[in-house]
Amino acid sequence: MFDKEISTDVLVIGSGIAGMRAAIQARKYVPDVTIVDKTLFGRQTLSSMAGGTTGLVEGYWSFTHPQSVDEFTAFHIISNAFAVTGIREQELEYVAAKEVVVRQDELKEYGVLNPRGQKSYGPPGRMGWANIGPMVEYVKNSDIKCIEKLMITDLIREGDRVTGVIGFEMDTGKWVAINAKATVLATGGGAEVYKRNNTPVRATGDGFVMAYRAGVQLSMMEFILFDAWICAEPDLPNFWIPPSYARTLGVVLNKDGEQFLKNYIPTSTNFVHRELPNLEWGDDMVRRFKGVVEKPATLDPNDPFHQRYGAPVIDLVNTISRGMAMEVDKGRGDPDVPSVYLDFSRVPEEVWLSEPKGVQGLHLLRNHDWKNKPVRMFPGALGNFGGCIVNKDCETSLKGLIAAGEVTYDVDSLRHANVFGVRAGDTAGLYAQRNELPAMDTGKAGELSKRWREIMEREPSEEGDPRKVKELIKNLMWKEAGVLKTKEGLERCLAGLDKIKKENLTKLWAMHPRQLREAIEAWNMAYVGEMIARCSMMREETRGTFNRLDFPDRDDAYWIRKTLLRLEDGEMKMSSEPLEQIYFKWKRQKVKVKGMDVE
Amino acid sequence: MTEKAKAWTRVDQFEVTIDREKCIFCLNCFEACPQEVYDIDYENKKIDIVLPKECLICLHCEEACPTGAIFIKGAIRKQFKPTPVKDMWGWEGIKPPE
Repeated sequence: MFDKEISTDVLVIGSGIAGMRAAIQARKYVPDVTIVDKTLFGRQTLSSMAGGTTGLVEGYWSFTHPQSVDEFTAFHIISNAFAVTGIREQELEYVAAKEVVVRQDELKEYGVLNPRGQKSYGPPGRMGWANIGPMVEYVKNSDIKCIEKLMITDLIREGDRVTGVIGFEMDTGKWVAINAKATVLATGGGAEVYKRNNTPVRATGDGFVMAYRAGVQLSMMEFILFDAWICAEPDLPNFWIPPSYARTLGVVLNKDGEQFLKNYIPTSTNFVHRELPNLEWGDDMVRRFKGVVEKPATLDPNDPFHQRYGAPVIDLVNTISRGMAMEVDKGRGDPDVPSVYLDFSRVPEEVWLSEPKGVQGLHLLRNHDWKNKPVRMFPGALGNFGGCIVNKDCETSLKGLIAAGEVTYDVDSLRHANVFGVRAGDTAGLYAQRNELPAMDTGKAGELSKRWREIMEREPSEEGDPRKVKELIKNLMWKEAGVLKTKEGLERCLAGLDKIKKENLTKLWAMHPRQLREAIEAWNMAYVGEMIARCSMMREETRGTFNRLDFPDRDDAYWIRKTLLRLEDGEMKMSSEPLEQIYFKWKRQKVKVKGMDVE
Repeated sequence: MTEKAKAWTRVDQFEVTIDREKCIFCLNCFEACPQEVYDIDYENKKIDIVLPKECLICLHCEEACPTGAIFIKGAIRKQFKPTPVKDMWGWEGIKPPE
């Protein structure tokens, strides 16, 4: 059934920062660690696309530059940075706050230069390469077994124990079974399900679907990070306009030339302060955190955006995305392309000229007459906030399956990937030390692979072209479950996905292993899309990056909850449960979200 | 506009090029590209540039190519070294526009 059978102590799937760190860490416990990726190491990862470990850079959170673990915890639980307000897993945030600086400094050991003092640099697509690149070299030069271009298709499960995985080689098409004592899932996110995205093409959420099929519970899939600053010029790629000085000097306008962001950005004070009245303060809480979060915000004198709106841009990304989408929705966007304008005309020439010194990303805009013509931009998907449920040691509900990075719940940044990658490595290493290699039923595994092998045998057809199916899903998701969601749209989305599953997924065909990879990705994308749409249907509120036009208020009375989904009897079973509020408790009330009622 | 500024904002003639003689059809460029700029022509055993406008000039393909067949003309090829935050954000004398 399988052309190759491999056994290993710890298997790591995925080669972003989380996967790399997990592999290096696990190697400290056991001699035989294998790391696999469906393509070349590090290249198709968000770690290489996004601005390195920007989340950890000193001074990046310039207004509450965290001075202590408590401050860091408070900031990340309360603030709106990246994805959500109020529904972060507080225990995990505390762990991340405690360990983040140590983990960041450790990057030096792997050849990363100056991990604390850097910001985004390099062109879009390789801003994070200065972090992930040296780590790829480090891992390749170590005695960790590296297998590139091996697509993992399924996790193999015996009872509640994951015994290994199956997959196929990209160059030869040979099927491989890997038997492992512990398996680390670090496959990243699936923002590629959206037409407009700023992720590598291979970020199709395979890990979500593999884990889902194996019976792992997933959570919060409705939260997608929509980054606001994605170029929407038709003749330029959808690249992320990097946080440079020129960008902060640029002005965001709608078609009437109005600086509309002020209608959406709440007050000219920072988010932590704004949320203070919405929190319940017990005595112990007051003792521990009140001083920390009430510390006066310091405006960064060098950041014009910060000066203008009272909070650094990173904290306002969701708000800006919402604002842009609302303006376009109300017909105040660009008439040709759904977008708003980023006007650079008042950026002094010397600023533009000095950009290449540090922030090289804007060089793509050199083709653009930025002095006279504003750049069109519109939000695009960047990553998934939700994913597999893990505890603080990165264990999932299945024995021997450990998950870290974007594939897990509550992990939305490289800061988390760094911390929890190491934790996953520790857990996997210890688990492999203490447990024997489980018996793997290759017959059963072969049965699982049949579904994919059939794809290779099918006759080519129009409906089953993997690329076209992918496009169908991406367009559908962007149209019906994009930045602004409604019940009707989500229903149309689910119906559309159902149709795609029945009519297209059953006819998927492939002539070559690389096409088979795309076919499996298309299959996975349909399921990731369904997860997103179903969870979005459940959450009847607007919060952080999640906007429901039919439920414009933030509902702290009910929706400090997480949505859950799992596979039960062949169906996606939905539920929800209250979030544990260890450190911060929200008042049970509805909070108005500014800008959701703009006419 | 100064001459230097003109040079910097001039239409940039970058172009993805493949040296067919050096290409060994290892498909690393296809694997490395985050934007699907390349596609594979299995019949003729060659790699095609199908979406050149999607190119981010990230140079992943150039680096992944084992024979140096891929070259992106007009790309900034200087070493992207991490720059300390202070150097980048310690702007003096430039006032943000109102």
